[in-house]
Amino acid sequence: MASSTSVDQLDIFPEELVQGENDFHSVTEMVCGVLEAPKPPKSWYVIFTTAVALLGVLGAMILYLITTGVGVWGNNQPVAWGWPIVNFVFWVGIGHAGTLISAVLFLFRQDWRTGINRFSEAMTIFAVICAGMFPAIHVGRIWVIWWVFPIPNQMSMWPNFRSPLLWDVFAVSTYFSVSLLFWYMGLVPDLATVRDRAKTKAKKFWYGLFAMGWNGSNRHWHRYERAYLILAALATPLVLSVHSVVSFDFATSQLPGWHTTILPPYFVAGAIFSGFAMVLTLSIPARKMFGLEELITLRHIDNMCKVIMATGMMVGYAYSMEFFMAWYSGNAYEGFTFVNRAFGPYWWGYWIMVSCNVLTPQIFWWKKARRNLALVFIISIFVNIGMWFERFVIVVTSLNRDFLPSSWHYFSPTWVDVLTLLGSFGLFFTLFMLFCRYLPQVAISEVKNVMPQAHPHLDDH
Amino acid sequence: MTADKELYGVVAEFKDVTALYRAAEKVRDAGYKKWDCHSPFPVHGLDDAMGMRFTRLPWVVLIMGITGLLAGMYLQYWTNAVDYTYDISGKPVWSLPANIPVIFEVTVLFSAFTAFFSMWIANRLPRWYHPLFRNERFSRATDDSFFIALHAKDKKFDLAASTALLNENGALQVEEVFEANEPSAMPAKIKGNLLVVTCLMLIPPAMVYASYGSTTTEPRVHLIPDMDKQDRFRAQGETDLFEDGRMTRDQVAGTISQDQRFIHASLETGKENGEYVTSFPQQVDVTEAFIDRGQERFEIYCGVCHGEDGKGTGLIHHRAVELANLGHATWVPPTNITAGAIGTQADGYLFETISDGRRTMPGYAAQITAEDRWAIIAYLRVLQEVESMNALSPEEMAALGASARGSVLFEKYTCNACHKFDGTYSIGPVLSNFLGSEVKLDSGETIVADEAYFTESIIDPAAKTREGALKGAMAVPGGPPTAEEIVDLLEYIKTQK
Repeated sequence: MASSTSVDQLDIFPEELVQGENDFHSVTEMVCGVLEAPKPPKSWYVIFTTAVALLGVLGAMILYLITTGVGVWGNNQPVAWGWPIVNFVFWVGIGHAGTLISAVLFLFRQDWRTGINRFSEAMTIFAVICAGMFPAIHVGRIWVIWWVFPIPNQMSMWPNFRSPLLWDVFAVSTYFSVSLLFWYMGLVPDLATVRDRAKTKAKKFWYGLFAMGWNGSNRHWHRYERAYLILAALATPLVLSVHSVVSFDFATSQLPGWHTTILPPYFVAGAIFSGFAMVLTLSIPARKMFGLEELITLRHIDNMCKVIMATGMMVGYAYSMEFFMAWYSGNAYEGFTFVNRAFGPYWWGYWIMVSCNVLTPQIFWWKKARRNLALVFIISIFVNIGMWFERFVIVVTSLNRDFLPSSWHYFSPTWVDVLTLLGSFGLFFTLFMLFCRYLPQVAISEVKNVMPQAHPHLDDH
Repeated sequence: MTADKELYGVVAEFKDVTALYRAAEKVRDAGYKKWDCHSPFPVHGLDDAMGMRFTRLPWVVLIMGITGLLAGMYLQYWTNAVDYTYDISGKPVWSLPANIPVIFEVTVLFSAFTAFFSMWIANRLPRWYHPLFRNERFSRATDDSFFIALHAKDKKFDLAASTALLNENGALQVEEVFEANEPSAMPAKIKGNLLVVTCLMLIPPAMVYASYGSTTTEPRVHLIPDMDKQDRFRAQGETDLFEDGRMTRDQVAGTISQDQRFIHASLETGKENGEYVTSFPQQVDVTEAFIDRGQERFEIYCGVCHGEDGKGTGLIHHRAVELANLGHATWVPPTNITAGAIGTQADGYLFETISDGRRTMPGYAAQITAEDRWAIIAYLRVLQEVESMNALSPEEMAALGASARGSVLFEKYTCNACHKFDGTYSIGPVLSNFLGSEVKLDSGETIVADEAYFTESIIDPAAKTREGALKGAMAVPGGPPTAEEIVDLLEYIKTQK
């Protein structure tokens, strides 16, 4: 029984993953208590109401867009990819931490993932929904968006499979489908827990329906764990491929500032960076709001800060390497683009990006900073802002001064652009608040599994 | 009461994972096959303690993953390299590297769906009813308690012995579990609702199927018709925007459109006040350089048909005659423009001929600028001048014999373009041994060609038409000749045997 010795017995970790005097039942109580409480905390109502209001704004903006045309945005030649694509890359990047925390950390046997994986998977699903919306509405004629899929049609035409934009369709939709399966599969045993504790008929029915009749059978657990491992093993290269493919949208073009081989790893590092920041932004208030401090501990937050610092330095390296290559290649256009990026009309965007993404996370060298919740929360917001600006810088500064100086154009967003971005946060937080209220926020069975008492203590071994 | 219920088995509760693990080993060793452990999380090592075989799930996923890989590859190959090819800068229609991202995604998609769904199928889930759910304590199997259930269907199962086995191995409590009395049928209300929903869901596919492959004379349904029907003003359309209801508007007085250049009447049309001009417009300056320019343009544009000497025997003409000799073409020869009627035409008239074409000649306004057209005319006038200087004076003509005069006239009226004497192809009738030959007319009647027929044909070519010839096809540029000249021509052809 190789697994009979728990990691805690080896004394590798200074702190236990579940803190306080907790047993299996108290963990169940803690997580299920959130969705069994007759009323959520007041702050939930405040956030949910705001989010729904913003969701309404999003609906209005999309309706206005569809009925009027993409001219309501600031997009125009030469900046034909404006905020919609910036927002797409921003959201899809956030959507990567979920699968990374779930799958990659699972494969590396990082047990601390159990406290935050449900959170981040939910975040992934909702962020990818927000992300997928932008290219769809960006096509202008959204009613023919099905043309991106290889569906037999009366035009006898097929999509061009050698277009990076089509790879994107396949990558993002595969990522969404697999993330959804992964998330739902992880939810099933916990839904069974909620079902077995449910008091009302409606709850018994709905949780029972989605719990699939799970009864904790070890024969089921055996196949379940195997399938979960396979999904994790599939999701790991998938998460790397998806953001690489997103970067191909840029890298395979011939535009200075986009046409670089560094883009795929740079985008993936950026995605992990922004995703972890968003997990922190969400989990720091949520653990407080719903009393989950003993499950999402300071150790979790500490670890995530370390990941943020590491990936922040990776993107910092990418920023500097882009400049180096622009100079080293001797390509005058490439050189111009990068000088223009840092000192041209959008210099402020570039320096917001650098200070938020490269400089501020350096404070996490200090353990005190990593465990100061208010500070971590603020830095996570900075990183979110910085990563939005990174995409803005990549998209807009590469396009706004193209080869023909007569067509140079200073891109400005319209009020519709701004409200659509705000509205997408409304969509995200509406879904997230519903998740917090109606689904177990922490993977109950997985947390139990990493508690010391989850392992048989056999004297003869 | 309990007697008429079927026994499902016994379920025993254990206090922790260690107790569960120990008991599972004992049950396994006792030789039970149909039994199970239930725990709120997967207990590591329990698979061995239960003596379970390793699942074949990974193999299923591998096979479906390979299927996905091939499907992803074939999807792209068939759609992009076979059924609908994209010719982009002549690149190959099939190049694997560009197809790898989609192949990878489809492989992952197939594998993930297989892993997910095979797991549920192999676990016989979803199954919303289970006899164990009837046991009240069992609800803690998803919370903090651990259970072993022995199934009554197992060969080794014996209520007393099995209960004892569990009790001896640390069970907190052993209980019997019974199947439900009534079959676990779906409530009639849900059944009815499901039926209604299913029927409603069948309507759209049924409608699609009904219209599949059908034809209609009705216009297409346009949900969002802005691609097909756009608000715009159509030429000759109606509108309520203007009082007169017409969409096509007259030009505003005193303006010109952008493509309407300012026209110098004589320079651009060759006409002034509706009359052909008889001199060069004032915008052109007829100098030697201008005439040289005209010569260059003439040799480029006119010479190929009319010949560089203007006598109607350019390369095209030679080739057409050769083709006609082989029976591949018919050919109306170009006019000799150095003499005859062309020489007396007004400059404006010639300008119009070059600009807009005449008879089979196309217009050249698109290829030659107005100034160059005038330059060509200037050069043409030079050619005509040279020709007239070479031409015989009336005195010299009078001094010649009748048939020699006829020979000159034969060229002057460009008879030689169509009529030959050597018996090979010519456009008009061959004129050697003409008089006295039999001519079949299109009326079916056959006449003998005599002097009267000859004269009539020159003066009124359409009077009698040979069989197979185009009525009135014969033209006499600069004609008709005078009666004396016709006599000279007659004398000339008499000499051609």
